[in-house]
Amino acid sequence: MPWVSAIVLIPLFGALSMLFVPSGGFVQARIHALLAAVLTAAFTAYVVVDFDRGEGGLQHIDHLDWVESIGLSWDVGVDGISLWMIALTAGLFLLGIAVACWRLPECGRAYLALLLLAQAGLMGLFAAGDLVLFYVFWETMLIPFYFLIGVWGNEDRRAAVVRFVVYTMAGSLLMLVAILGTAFTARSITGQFTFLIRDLEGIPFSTAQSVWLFLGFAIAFAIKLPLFPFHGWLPRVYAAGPILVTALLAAVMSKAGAYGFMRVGVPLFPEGADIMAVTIGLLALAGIVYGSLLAWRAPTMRLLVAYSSIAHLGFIAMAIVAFDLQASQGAMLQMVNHGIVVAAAFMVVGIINRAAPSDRLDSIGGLAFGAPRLAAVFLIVAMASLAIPGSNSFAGEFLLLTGVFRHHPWLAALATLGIIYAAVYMLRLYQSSMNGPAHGGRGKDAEMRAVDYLMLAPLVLAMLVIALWPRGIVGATTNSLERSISPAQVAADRPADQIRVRIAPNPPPAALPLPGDPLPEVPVEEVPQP
Amino acid sequence: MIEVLAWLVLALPLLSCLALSLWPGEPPKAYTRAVGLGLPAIGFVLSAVIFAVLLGRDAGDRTEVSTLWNWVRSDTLSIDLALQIDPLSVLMMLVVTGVGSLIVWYSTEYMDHDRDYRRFFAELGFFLFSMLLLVMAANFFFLIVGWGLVGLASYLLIGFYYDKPSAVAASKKAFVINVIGDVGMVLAAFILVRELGTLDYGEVFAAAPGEMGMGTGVSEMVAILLFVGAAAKSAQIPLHTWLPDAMEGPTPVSALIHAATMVTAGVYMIVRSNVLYELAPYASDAVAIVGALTLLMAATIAFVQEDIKRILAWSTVSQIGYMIMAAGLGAYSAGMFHFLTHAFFKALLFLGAGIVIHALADQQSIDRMGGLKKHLRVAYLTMAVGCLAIAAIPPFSGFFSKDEIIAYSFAAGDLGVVLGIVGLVAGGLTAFYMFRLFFRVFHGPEPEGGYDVEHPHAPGPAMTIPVVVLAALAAVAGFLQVPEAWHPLEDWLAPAITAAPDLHPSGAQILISMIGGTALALAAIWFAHWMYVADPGRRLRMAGTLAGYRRLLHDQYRFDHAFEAAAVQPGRDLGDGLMATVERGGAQGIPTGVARAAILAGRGLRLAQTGLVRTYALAMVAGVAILGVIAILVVR
Amino acid sequence: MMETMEGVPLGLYLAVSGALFLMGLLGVLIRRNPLLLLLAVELMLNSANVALVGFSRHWNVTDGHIFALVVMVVAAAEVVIGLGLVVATFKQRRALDVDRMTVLKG
Repeated sequence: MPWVSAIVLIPLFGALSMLFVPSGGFVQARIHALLAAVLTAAFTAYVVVDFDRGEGGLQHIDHLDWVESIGLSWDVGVDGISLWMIALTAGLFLLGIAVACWRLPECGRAYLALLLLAQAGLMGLFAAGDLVLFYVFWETMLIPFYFLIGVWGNEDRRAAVVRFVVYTMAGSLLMLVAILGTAFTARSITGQFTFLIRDLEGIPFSTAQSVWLFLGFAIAFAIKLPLFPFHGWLPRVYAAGPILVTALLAAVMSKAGAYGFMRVGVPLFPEGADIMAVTIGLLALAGIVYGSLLAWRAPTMRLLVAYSSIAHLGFIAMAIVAFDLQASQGAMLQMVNHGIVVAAAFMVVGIINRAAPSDRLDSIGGLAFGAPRLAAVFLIVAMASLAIPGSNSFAGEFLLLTGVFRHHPWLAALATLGIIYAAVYMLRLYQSSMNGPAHGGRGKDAEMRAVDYLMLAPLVLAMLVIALWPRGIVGATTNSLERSISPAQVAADRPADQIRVRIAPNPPPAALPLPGDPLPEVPVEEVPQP
Repeated sequence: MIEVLAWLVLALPLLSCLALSLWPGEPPKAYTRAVGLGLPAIGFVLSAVIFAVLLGRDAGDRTEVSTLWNWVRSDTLSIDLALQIDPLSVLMMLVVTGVGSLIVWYSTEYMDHDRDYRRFFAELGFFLFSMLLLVMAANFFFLIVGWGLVGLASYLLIGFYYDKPSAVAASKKAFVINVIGDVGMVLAAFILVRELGTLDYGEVFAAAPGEMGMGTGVSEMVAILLFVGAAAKSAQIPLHTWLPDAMEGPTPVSALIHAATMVTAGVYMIVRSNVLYELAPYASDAVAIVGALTLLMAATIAFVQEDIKRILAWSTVSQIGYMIMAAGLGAYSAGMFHFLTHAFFKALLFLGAGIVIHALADQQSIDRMGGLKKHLRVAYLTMAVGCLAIAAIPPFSGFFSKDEIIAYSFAAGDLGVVLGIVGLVAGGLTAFYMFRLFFRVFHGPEPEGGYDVEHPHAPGPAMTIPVVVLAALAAVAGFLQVPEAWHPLEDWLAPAITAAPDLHPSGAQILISMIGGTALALAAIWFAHWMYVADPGRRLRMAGTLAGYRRLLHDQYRFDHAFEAAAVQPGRDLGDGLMATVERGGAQGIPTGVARAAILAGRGLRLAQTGLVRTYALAMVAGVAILGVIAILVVR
Repeated sequence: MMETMEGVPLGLYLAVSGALFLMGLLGVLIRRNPLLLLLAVELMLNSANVALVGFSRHWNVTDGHIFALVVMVVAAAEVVIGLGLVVATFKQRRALDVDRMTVLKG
């Protein structure tokens, strides 16, 4: 049974099926969308349960040659890195589509179809085992978000979304070049032309090749992540999108960049990654401090959460380039946590916006009087966001920073500034809206309603579960992350006892040309003579 | 069996929090009282049972670790969700649940007229849970978790009246400073993981002497960073400024969190980590010096405060200074002894102050009090016990515990002698400011224009009984340790304090501390009497003396100003500056530029689209021709 | 018969084909009447056919013949659509001058 293909294709078919819904058939559209989301979630649940935690490579691989002569194939599967990203996407989109169905905006069919398309794009990206497929989905997911923000966003949406799409496209064009470069360079070394990520692992690129190819990927990932100073698109887009779309965008799509580093950048180009590691680490640190300071001074609630997101992703980026198992596992956990927490934070901001449409922090206060339940939920979300010890985010940040600290003590020590700043800006967000004398809007307008519970209750529950048992998530990632980082650990000359896995060079060393040898001949197809 | 009991002790307050907060709507008050008070009280009983069981065992057999599940395992680091039951944690459990239950009981009446009755008890339950987690955790990780969660509980309860801007500001300040402390602890944990690969108390304390070494940079760093956490939580210089502001919370909160339990967590943590501190002589000295400075500073600030709760808050800062000083000098059991007596007498003083405040319709200024002796008989007597205890007058509890600290200081080398003298002097200051409070509240004339209420009303039984119980404890708890006679507390704690240096105060040192301390305290009390009771007008006539110093004291040595100027305002300015320059210009300029370039390129390329089919045909021909030329040139 | 056919060298085929193609190309570039444009396009297609048949003879395989047949079919289809478009355009604009059809100008 092609479980993973199904996970990618069901949302796609769900989106296409909207074409057959008559205009005005809102009940039918809802049924289609929910059915697709529920089925995807169910299949994902099966894959999560069935996942073999002892295995590091891809599992549930569905491979179908597509254009054999140029090495294109439909190749999807899950490993410990993509598993939780897929689960996060499935869960959040299920909740998001449920909320969208409950309160359907204008042009509801198109809205639901685009949401499903976005889900399909993300699922495909996380499941792709082939670089071309990876690229295709990388671009695919932009399109639905372009329309979702461009059509349903606020008055600044056009300018914001054009910047977003053009900027990320510019980055991903570099990635396309790098993908082709990788395949051709790999062929010149191994004689085999392939885009399969698992076949490209362990190829001994020269240092210069490794650095340039890594950079090509890294810029695309850095823009998507976003890493300081490539974050320019983010604040306006987060501020302009409809709140549900912003929540999903911040929760899931920002993880694509980090995922790309873990899946492609670091394992395929360990030397390049090692050479760029300090730069990326410092940029991440700069992003933590920068995002925190700007969040502290942000005038509106959405901007505050947007900048806090830059700071939080800085932690993840820093951990990825530490090439430490613990740091990577922390980063993995934190990617899930941040997805849950930032989605919840944006949803809460959306609820507050009901009473304070201007979104300005100083426009409203004292909502806790009229909305005690929102205050309680918001408190949990805020505390999880600022990573109070005992929260799910603290589990992630602790693991992550412990790992970074082993190799770069000062980087980790300075990054803890971000934890202090987080307390400052999250409390600013919480207290200015919830506490103080009531003014600016009726608290009752912002009290939790059934539709708000629909999204926030499962998210809060997930936060609590992860806080109590992070091992549930961390444990599944061990083998895959060991595989992913061990080449970089070798490149970084780490002590042998820290490197748990050695990836067999591909092809085996005997087949490799020694320096000075002529390049191996590219096999030539024999043409039958007439 | 005691493992199950221990988990129950931990779970009961959490259960009470959940049972109260998940009740839909506002639950009946009887339910709130029953759940809010009943479950922690059961916790106290269970703690007592655990204590009794441990008491029945050999001293070497009193430590148990109970693991619930493996919380996370990553690389070489493995963290269990586990509790450690040993003499130290049992002592803390008894105090937390015991004093906690008394204060919850008191609150059932004190908070009766407040709007959010249920929320108050839910948050108290959450606090008790967090505090118990802090003291019962079996590794540094869950110590930090408890550490952070008590910070959250404290934040919630300081900001309980969340419509008051001053309370909101105070709660934020407390939270942020405590997060600074958390970060210190977290960094210490990073070093421990890096050096030892574990956070379990047992493993850390076993491995640290060998792996980290005596007096090495790493050991000193761990001790200093842990102390950053302790300083933030226990309000030591320079992270003490949040505690006086924390008095914005309801009075029982001040008694429980900001006097008896949470703020002494720093002392507990240092005592718990005694092995690490013994490896770090310089850090330990620094701890002791900071404790002594705090003790002196806070005592002087308390002189000029007019708010009854702020006086008590500064006195708390000062008393914790004693404990920290003791711990820094290696007199761990003496520090714990003072923690115990302090928990009794300071909770008593706060609850007594609460009775006064309650009777005067939330008036907190001692300027609006006076002559309350005849109206609030019980409060008068119990507060007298509390003041005598904190002033270290024999035979009240403070006398034994404070003099033990000073005697031990004298025995701890040159630094100890200096700090011991500081402690002795500060003891006199303590007696003065406490009796300033006592005399101005209960003696002297009624305030001009009368009280804020028609007639100060005496409290009901729920407020009276806890105060009386605490007064009894504050009076007699000192006999737990009598120098040169018996020391059951020290013996009890011995299994947990394995690295304590052998400090033996000589008879002379004990005598100096006792007689000197008592004499100074009596003189200070007499002086306070002379100033505030013998001739009440004297205070006003003397108002001009030392005006400059008094202003400095009113500004609390300008720590707040310094923080504002050194950290907060520059941060805001930097944020605004970055927003105006880097963000608007650079970061957001990049995507704008890229988008604009794409638009311009499109505008240019559009011109090629003439709409004339023949232009396209011509372009195709030209293209083919160029390709042909290239092909011929290249292929040939 | 065989001898006479074999005697025609490939170069002649290609020369005829090239000449036809050039005529067609010039026609497309110069004429303004869409009907003549279509004729010129046909000419180019047929030049390709001649080349295909010529190569087919030269290599002695029949692929070229088959392709030539396919091209003829395509050409026929194309003419049908093309003429249809021309008629439709004429009905709308009452003129047949490709230089004046610039609706798609960017």
